[in-house]
Amino acid sequence: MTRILFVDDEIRILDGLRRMLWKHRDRWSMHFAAGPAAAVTALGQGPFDILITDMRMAEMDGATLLERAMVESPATVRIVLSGQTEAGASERAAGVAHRFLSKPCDPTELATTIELIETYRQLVPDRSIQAALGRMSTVPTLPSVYEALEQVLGDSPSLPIVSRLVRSDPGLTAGVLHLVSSSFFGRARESVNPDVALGSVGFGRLRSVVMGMRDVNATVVRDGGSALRLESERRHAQVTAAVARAIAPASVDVDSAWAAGLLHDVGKLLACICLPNGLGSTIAEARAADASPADLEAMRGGPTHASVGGYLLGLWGLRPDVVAAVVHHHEPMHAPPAYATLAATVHVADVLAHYVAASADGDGPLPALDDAAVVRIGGEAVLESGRRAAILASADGRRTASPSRPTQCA
Amino acid sequence: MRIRVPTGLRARLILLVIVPLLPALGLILVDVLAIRRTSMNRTEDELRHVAHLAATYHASRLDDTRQFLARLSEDPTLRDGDARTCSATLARVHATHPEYPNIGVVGADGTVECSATPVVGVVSLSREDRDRVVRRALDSGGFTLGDFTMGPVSRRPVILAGYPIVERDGSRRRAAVVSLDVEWIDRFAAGAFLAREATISIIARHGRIVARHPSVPAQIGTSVTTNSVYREIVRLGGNGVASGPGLDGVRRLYVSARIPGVEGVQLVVAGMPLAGLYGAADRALRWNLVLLSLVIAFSFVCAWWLGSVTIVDPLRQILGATKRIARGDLSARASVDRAGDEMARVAAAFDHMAGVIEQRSLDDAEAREALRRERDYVRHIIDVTPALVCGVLPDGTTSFVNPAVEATTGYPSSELIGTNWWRVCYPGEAYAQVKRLFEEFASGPVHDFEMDLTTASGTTRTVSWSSMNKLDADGRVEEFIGFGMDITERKRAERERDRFEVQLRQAQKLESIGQLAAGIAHEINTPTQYIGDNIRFLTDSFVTIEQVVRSVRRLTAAATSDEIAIATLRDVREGVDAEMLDYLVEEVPRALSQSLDGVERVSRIVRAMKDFSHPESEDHKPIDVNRAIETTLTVATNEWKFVADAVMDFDPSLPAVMGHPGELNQVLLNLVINAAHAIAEATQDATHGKGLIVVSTRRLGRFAEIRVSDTGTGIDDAFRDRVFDPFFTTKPVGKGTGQGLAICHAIVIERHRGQITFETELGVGTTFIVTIPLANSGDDAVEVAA
Repeated sequence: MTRILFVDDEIRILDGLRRMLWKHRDRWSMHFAAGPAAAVTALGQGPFDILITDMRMAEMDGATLLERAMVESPATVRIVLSGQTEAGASERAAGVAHRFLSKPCDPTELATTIELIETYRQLVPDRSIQAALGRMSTVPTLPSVYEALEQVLGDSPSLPIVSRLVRSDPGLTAGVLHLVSSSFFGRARESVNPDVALGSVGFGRLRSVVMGMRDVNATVVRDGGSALRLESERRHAQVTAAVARAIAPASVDVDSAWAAGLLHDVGKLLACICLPNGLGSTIAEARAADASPADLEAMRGGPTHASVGGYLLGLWGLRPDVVAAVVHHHEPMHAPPAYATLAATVHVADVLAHYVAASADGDGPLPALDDAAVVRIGGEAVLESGRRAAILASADGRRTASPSRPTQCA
Repeated sequence: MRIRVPTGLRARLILLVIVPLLPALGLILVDVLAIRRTSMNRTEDELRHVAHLAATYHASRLDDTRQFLARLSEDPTLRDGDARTCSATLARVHATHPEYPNIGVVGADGTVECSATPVVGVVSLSREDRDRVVRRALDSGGFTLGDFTMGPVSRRPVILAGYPIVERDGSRRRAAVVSLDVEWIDRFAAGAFLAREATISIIARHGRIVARHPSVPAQIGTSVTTNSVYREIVRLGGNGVASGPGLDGVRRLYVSARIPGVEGVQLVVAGMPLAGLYGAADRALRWNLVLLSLVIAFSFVCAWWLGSVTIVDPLRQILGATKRIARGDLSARASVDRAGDEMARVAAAFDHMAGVIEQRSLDDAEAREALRRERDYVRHIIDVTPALVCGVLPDGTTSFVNPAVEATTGYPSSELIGTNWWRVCYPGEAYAQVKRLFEEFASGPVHDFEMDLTTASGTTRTVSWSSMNKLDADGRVEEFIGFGMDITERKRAERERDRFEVQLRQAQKLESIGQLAAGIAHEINTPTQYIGDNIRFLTDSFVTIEQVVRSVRRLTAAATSDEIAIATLRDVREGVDAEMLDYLVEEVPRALSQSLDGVERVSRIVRAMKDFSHPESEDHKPIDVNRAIETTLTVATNEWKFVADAVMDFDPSLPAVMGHPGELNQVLLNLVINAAHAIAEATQDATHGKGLIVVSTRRLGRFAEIRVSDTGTGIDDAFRDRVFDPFFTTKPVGKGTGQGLAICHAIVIERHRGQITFETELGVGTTFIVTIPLANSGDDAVEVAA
């Protein structure tokens, strides 16, 4: 049973939540802490799966509480439920909260969010991995990318330039989409297009949030240990995103296809730097053994890089279709039927990107192409257009390669 | 270029040394002259002596000759004898008297009848000799002496002497003639030990030279009258003295002596060369002159050297320094460093003087420079000052304007000075004001007399005039000095500021309302959240309640048949979730009351909001201060409730104040928010827990006093003076614009004629005190508006 801790210094809020969610008492073990002090005590007593807290409280504000939770109980999913309306309130919480909900919150939305989180948690049941991922507030990104962004934002930022930079990087895109998933941003959070997100967030806030991310990220990248090359992953992500958008069938949102393509291997990046054992070493082994990491993961059972990436993106509130496509990009036909086409699109794009990269660089293990997925998105015809898109995108990616040499994950 | 003055000075110095030596030169010359004169006198004496001796010797020879002839004439042989015997006798006699060149007998016709020396042919005496010697001897019967003549036989200069031979018959037909030569003169001269070049001459009648020692044959027989010296000697006769060049051109001193006993002037002239005569004197003179020259030369050198060292050089240095000073180089110095000497003292005095002059010149230059600077400075100030400066005579005529006047009026100074430009710049009715201004000028200084001035281009500038009267010695006003400030811009700025202030007040109000809006939204969102949750709960609950109702209905329906089937009861029991029902019985009333409570909270805030943002009207209304405070605290709840508790300590009987409700609320809101911020800052380290805001009211005479106290940080000394300054804030960027308290100040003081002050203590807190006049003290019947 999912253990949920609600924190608010207004007792009536807790009463209201308790009553409204009473009908879920069989599924969820709900606990209510009247104020941060009680919350800290409760966190100390037992592990919680989800922490939902108010922001403005007299003794300790919600962000501080979440920071403590991140340290003391990192596996717990952290959600803010705040009555504040100014978007600035989300800045402080951006680094520590997985989700940001605002009062008054539609009861359905709250329940849906909790249910989604339960689903995502099943992707990575291992609590130690959950804890490791819970400490992540950002996806690893090359410091040079942050520097370039900081420079662009410091000069006279224009949306096309900033957007191009953000869109070139899975970490930045994930960060921006995470930021905009806050319910402050209204309709913008429905979008997975970074341009829409950037328009809502604004450069000023982007700058402060992104720079905060950079500080965290800098240590992460420097201390990380894995054989994955961030730069090549980044290029692969770019190509996959471009191909996914190119081959997306009419029934699939092209923005979703692009975003899922860009973010599909976020799990590898995370595994590369934050997972103490298991996945990270599996991927490293796979590269050493010239085998597909996905195959090796599948052989070993347990969480795959796809599910790890999906887990974190899900917690960050990215749209479920994108999350599902990321999770299932190696076996698209296992995806929930609603998201299967998108997953198939990403799968084909991923494989095509690998093929094109292999024919260019001549190395790396190649994943297998799921024929059903090809059929799902329109048959053999898409392969050719996809390959062309891949070649174009990789050529474009080479031309606009990252400003500095690839950083090794040691 | 060498300067001439020192040379002249040196020349004078040298003269000074040499002039004293000149008497020595005189002495030398006098001495020489004396020597010369002595020598001359002595020589003259010698020559006279020699001449005299020679003359006497000659005379004695003539005397001898007379006696000889007298004896000879009586010799019978001569008287009677024939020519041969006569000649024999004469030859015999001649042998004993060789001193006579010849002895003869001459007839009256001059024919030589016989002679001691044989004569070839017939020899006659010259007619002159015959007449002079023979005839006169025959006529006188005595001794006669002829002139020197050239011997007809010997061809030597001779003197013929004759004596008549008395014939037996006593007649005298012949004469014995003897010739005398002057050969003796050489012997005489040798015996006289004459000096070289000395001469002895015998000058006969008619000035002819008959003999000369040393012998110069060419001169013999010539006349000396061509020579001025001899002419003078001859003129003087015997015993004459003269000097000058002789016939041979040698300058000599000549002395003559008359040969006694002869007829006519016949002289012996002795001459001594002047050169020999002055030789010694000239040698002495030369020697003395050489010595003197040496002395002078030595003196010259000494004078030159000493003059240079002691006088000329220092003088030259002084002169050089003087010239340099004259050229303007006041730092020039003579720098003569010899101690103790007058020249050095002069130079030192000069240097001192130059130093003093230089210092004075420097001082003067400094003073002049300072004066010039000061003048320029003042001039510059007048020229560049934006103030209009003008001088006005009592009749209104302008005597001076500065560039600012030209710039402001647009007229050039030439059109302003000398005219009454006030009439131009203040035309029409405005001039009446000017006249009033002039009247005020007369009564003393004027301050800030504002008038609109019309410029050349027709625009209007507002100028504020002040004036100073310049009085003459009698205390009458001589001139007004007017100072005008162009305050057009200031006036415009003031108007702008007034307008800006209104806008600012409005903006600040919007700012605080905007700030409030977020807080109010939060305050509304919270109850809305639980109201919504509760309603969802109630909605969900209604399913259960419906079941219960349905069950009750079934039971009710069953009850009408007087028997209740067990089955029905079982159905009812199974259909009703007892646990749920218990929960509902417990929760529903609380959910309802909390929802109502929430609704009340929302409506209270909305109401306060409406009260707070009072419908705008410029009218002043009576205001219930206590209620205004309550409203404000409610509206601002979200601003303070997380950091502080609020305590209201009201005077319930406080009468209304007169004011603008919206503005007063703005003041209260600003004070409350400031208090909350101060407390937030003080408690941010969370060691003090929540702070306290106390808002109290009380009546203070005709005023209502509102005190807003906080337990915040207090205000730093450094900032206390600036608390009410616009745009002054200690809050971080984005947290405040610095307008709040400035607006409060403006609203309370200008709009409500109240006062706003504060008491503060660092680390303890701040109390702002607002006092506002009561609407109508003592009249409680005023209708109160919130």
